[in-house]
Parts: sequence; structure tokens; C-alpha cells
Amino acid sequence: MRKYISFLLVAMLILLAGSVLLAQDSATTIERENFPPVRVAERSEGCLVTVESVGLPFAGFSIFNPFQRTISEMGGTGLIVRSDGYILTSPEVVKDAKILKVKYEGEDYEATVEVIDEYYDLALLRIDKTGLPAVEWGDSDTVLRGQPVVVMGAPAGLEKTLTYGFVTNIRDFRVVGPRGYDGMLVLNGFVIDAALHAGVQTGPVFNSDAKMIGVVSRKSRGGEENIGYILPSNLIRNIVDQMINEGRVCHPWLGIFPHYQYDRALALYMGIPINEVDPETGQEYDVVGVLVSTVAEGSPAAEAGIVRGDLILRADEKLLHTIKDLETIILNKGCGDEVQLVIIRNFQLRNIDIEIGDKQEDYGNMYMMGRNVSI
Amino acid sequence: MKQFFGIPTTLAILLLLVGWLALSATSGPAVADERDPLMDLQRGGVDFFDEVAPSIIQIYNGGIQLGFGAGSGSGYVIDREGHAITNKHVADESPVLEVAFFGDETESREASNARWKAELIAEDAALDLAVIKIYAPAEKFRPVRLGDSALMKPGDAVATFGSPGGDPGWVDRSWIAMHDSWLEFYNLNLGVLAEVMSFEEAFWTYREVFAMNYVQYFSRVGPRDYGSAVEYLLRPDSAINSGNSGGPCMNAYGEAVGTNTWGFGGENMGFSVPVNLLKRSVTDILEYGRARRPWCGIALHPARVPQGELETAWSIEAIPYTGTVGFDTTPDQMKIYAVNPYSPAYEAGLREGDIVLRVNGKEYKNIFEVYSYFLARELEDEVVIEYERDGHGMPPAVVKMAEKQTRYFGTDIEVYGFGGWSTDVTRYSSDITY
Repeated sequence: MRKYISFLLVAMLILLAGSVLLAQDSATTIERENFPPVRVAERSEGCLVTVESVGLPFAGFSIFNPFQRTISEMGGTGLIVRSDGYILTSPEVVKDAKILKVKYEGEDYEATVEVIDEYYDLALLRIDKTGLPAVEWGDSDTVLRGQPVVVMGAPAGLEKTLTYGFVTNIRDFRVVGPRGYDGMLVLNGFVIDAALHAGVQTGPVFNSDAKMIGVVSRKSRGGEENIGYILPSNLIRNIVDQMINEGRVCHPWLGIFPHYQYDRALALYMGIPINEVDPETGQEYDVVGVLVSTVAEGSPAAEAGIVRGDLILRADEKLLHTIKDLETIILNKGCGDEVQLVIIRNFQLRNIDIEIGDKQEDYGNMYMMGRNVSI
Repeated sequence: MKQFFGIPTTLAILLLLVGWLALSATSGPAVADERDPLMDLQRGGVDFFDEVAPSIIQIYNGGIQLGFGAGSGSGYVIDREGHAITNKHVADESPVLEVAFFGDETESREASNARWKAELIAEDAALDLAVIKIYAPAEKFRPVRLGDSALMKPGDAVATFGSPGGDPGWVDRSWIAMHDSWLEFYNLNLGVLAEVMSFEEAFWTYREVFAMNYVQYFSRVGPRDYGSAVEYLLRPDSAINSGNSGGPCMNAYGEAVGTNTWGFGGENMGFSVPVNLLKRSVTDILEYGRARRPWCGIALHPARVPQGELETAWSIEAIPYTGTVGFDTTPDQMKIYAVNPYSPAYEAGLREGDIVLRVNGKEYKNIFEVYSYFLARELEDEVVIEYERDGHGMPPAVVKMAEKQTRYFGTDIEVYGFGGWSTDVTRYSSDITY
């Protein structure tokens, strides 16, 4: 019995020693199945289509050949957002297109343009086919800075593309917009450092679980490398729902052009009292309030009686310090909601309620100079 | 136990126990790898960012800046008194420096009061280093650990931080509203270390950068020995944009292993000065208020004066200019191309044209090894240089290492926007000597 036990103990010790020796090689290996690009490529390829268009933009008049036209061929990524044939793509590809085709699984389908939304720089197409593999939506609220992302695209000329990167930052950014500077402000959009090539706009951005957490919007305007801006998927979902159900997207808008050079000197000149320290947050600020420079004709603010020179102090009880404060409040509410403003006019406080409307195409102001962003 | 098992078995068991303990205690991997990396290129760096972001600062330079970063850059806090490391060209010669931490409200220009004041303590142009002191409550300072940059090898995961695009400074707000995407704050870029460049490669890269950006580096910020003490250079492949300057390059454990300096030559070609090189200068700056570089005053690399510029104020014959491709030293010859007349080497008798045979008894074939040797000396060290002149041997020169002078002598004219230098060759300004 004793010998038996002692042999057992010795054997256990030898096994222990052996396992310690064997365990030395503990290098981390990347398991192929868990590497995000591999997972995404295997599960999510199907939701991409290529959108091709042939258009005839007017390229100028030539007396040598009055019949000259240029043909522009464009191609870009299309994303299947609903299985009954709805495809999200870039307005640049579909605008002024005479011939519009969607290439899916080797076949060409005629596409009709349902909605073009220039303020979000998105367009919705429809093709006559059902049972398409729609993209798997993820929850963009769970995205964290530093997590890996995979961008897929289907530009013209190439089958499918895939790039890999990480979420660099989560911040507000502005979409390009029809005039180049007045697109919608996207709250909590993502900045990623994956390579973005031409034709990948509206390409899906996946997290490591192969769920789509966003859609490519644009790159850095300053030309910085590795900076790409992504619209979050929760926002895209909202936009697509509006596009399909209502035929248009509502852009929350009051119609106010704020004064961008409103600083402490101007406030003192105007005789407006300034609190240096915000009583609620304890933070120091230059100025308080948003000064109205112009109001767009026919806009909700114009109808509510806001005029040039009003200083908007509070919106929904929150003290405003920056123009972005006001814009964030308006965007977080929706079209049709009411916002309660406290303004100073002629040194008097007034309460004005405005119902948030949709952004107009034409501002109607003849005397507006420069490029201004309206809220 | 003896009664239970019997003596031999007991001894055997004890021996095995001891042997096993000895094995497991000594056969672990090297210290650096035992810790868990905070980030890798498969999982990303979510916790990594939270861990490290409080140490990174944004620096707004209130002085007039040319070009790069439009008046801002990044930096990282290194101790609890509020000292931070950044690049010389970020914090350079500025009367007003403002600093923002992660979490301070800096998203709009209008919140400019949410910044802390900072003071430039001293710079070291040869490493593109500046040390600043931030005036803020002590709990804001989360110093970053300085890692060992000598351990970094190509393929290691690195993260570069910064605020590319930065703050446009004096630009008015309507421009900001249109271009608000220009402002980036606290971008985390993950990548790998692509290359570790040698002293020679780094030296000539700096000369080229210096030549290309002469308006910025040359005119108001600098002595021409910019980057001359960078004995090796890390090249991460993660993005380094203009406002990234001064920010840290971190390894996967969250330690700073380099200071991002600039990008040059293509996309994702960024450079970081390794921290090991900075440590000595930082200690000197904090203790003495300046970087005390040991120096003897000779240049073993050739001067090259560009064609057609002999007339202009920027060319002075004997001062080493940028060398672009290659240089004409034959490997066996350690010829002295220039000696600073105010240097210990001049006092010891060395002159231009002499050939260095041995330094402290050792023969060198590579001039950058000689430079590294000089850079590793202490002040007041004596170095014996055996040399020959015109083919015949000379008595060895005993050179006492002195502190390198980085200020200007003579009648250098510094005009904002353009550098004008005295053409009086007898009055040297700071040149690239070691």
C-alpha cells in the first residue's frame, strides 16, 4: 500500500514537472477564425452590391462640336439594407444618371432612385428582387474607442475590398452637404484609421462580431492620413426607415444663422452681461448664449418671431455657451418637437417656443454673405 | 514521512520537489513578456485607451507658428509635478502655451478657457525635445511610464496618440464651423513598428527634413544641429499627422517608447525619437535648466554647399549643410571636415583636414560610432584622440568634453520668416559637430 502511494506521488510529481516544462511555450497565437477581417469576410460578403451609372453631365459648350457631350461612368458601393430590394449608396454615383444598374451576384438589375438625401450624403435605390441578404445591423452605441473594425466595399472595377483598422475616436462630425459645408452634424460618429479608397462611400463598417456598426461617410478634409468618418448604424437605421416609409429624411432645423465671431469683446460692446463661470457646471467660458445673425425666410425660427440680434440664452433650460450646444439639442430632438428658448432682446428676457422643422433647400436670404452654417 | 515512505523514497520525492521548483522558478520568459499586453492588433486597444489617455496632453502654442499643426501639437506627462515632454517645434519659443487634458472641454474654440497654462522650461534641438511645466491641480497629472525603447523591434505593436489637425488657433469661428472636422482630438492609432533606423539613416533623414522645411526649422527655431543626437529612430506605421507631433509612441504595455516627431516621405511614414535618448536630456533639463550635451567640436561628415548658393546668405562654406545622397568619405578615412573654433577640440590642436586614427585607443571605421561615443561621454571627461596631419603623426590631442553651445555667436541675423546668416566664416554659429 505504501509503495503504491509513494509510486503514485512520484508519478504525480513527474507529471507536474513535465507540464511546467511544456507550458513554457505560451506565445499568443492569432486564431484565424477569430481574426476580425476573416470573420467579417466569411459572414458578411453577401450584403454588398456594385452600383454603376452612366450619366451625361453638361461639361461645357464647344463651338467646334456643339453636339459634344461627355459620358461619365461612375461606380460605387451599394449596401443591401432591406431584403426586398432596398440599397443604400452614394448620391454622387446616382445623381444625373441616365442608366443606373446594380450588379449583384454576376447579374445586372435595373435600379430606380427612391430618395436622394444630400444633407446626409446618402441615396436609396430599389431593385426588383426580393430575398436579398440584408446586412446584419449592430448596435453602434456599444462601440468603443480602440476596437477593431473592418470596412468592406465594392467599388467599380474591383470585386470586393476589405480593409482593417481601429476606431480612433468617437466624436461629432459634419457630413459634406450640398454646398460642401452645410451637411448635417452627426453626433457621436466614429473616426477610424482603416484605409478608405475611392468608391467605398456607404460601404459597411463591421465590428469583430461581423455586425455592421456604421457606414463610411467621408475622409478628413485636411487630407490627414488614416482619418475616416463613419455614420453610426443606429442613425443609418433611422434614416433608412424614414426614406422607405416617408420618402424623405427630416433634418431637424430651426433656421437660425448664428454669429460665429461672437466673443467676449462683442458681448461687452453690446452690453450683454457675461458670467465667466457657469453656475451649474463650474466651468469657465468666454461667452454665454448664441447670437442670431440672420434667420432664414420661412423657417420655423422666422415664424416664431426670432429676429437678427436676438441672443439665445437657454434652450430647454440648458445654458448655452457654444453654437454646438444649441445644435446638439436640436439634433437630439426630432422634427416636430418643440424646443423652448429663452432669449434676450433689447435687454429683456423672453420665452419663445419653436417647433422644429425640416431643413430647407433654399434659404431665401438675398443678403447672406459668405458660407454659413444654419442650425 | 520517513516512517511512511522509507528513506530512499523520501529523498527521491524531496529531490524531485526541489528540482521542480528550481525549474519553474528559472525557466520563465524574460521580464518584459511576462506582463499582459494591454492591446494587440487583433483585439484592439479599448482598455489601452482608457489606461493611457489621461497622460496625453494637447498643447496650443500661442506664439506665431508657421505651417505644421497650425499652432498645436501633443505631449505626455512624465511626473506628478506637471512636467511633460513634447517636441521642440511644438513648444518652441512661445510666450504662451496652453494645455488641455483628455476630458477637458476643447471641442470648440469657444471653450478656450478650459485650458491650463504651461511654461516652456528648456529645449534640446538635437533631439527635437522640449520639456514644459503645466500649471494645473496635481490630480490632473497621470504620469506615463517611460519604457525601454531599446527593446522595440520591427513588428511590435505600437500606438501613436495625438490630435492631428489640432486647433486652428486664431482662425475665426465661421471657418471652424465649416471645417470643424479639421479638429481632431485624442486620436488613437494602432499599428506596428515598421523599422528601427540607424544613426546614419536618421542623421541624413533629419538633414533632408531640415532642408525641406528650412523656413520653419531654420529661421526662427533653429540651430542647424536639429536632430543631430538622434542615434536611432523608430518608425511606426500608424498614422502620424501634423498635430501628432510631441505625442507619445507607446508599446503594447502602455509605456512611452518614443516621441512622435513628424511624417515624411509618404503615407504612414512617421518617425519617433526613442525615449532612451531623451532620458538623459530630460534629467538634465529638470535639474540644471538646460540639456548639457557633452561635446568636443569636430565634424567627421562632409560639408556640402549646394551649387549656385554661394552668393546667398544661407551658405557658409565650412558649415556642414544638408547632405542628401551619400557622402564621399572613404570608409577607412576618418577625416575631420570642420572644427568649431570655440570648442575643446580646437584648443587641443585639432584642425580641419586632420585624420583621426584612434579615439581613446580604439580604431573606428564608422564615423557615427565615433559620434555615439562622444554622445555617451560625461562632461569633463577627457578623450585622447590620436591623429595625423598631412600624412605624418601628431602628438595625441587630449580633449576635455565640454557642454555644447546651442546659442548663436556672432552676427547672425534672424529675421522672421527667413533665416539670414552671417557670411563671416570666422564666426561660427552652432553647426553639426560632436
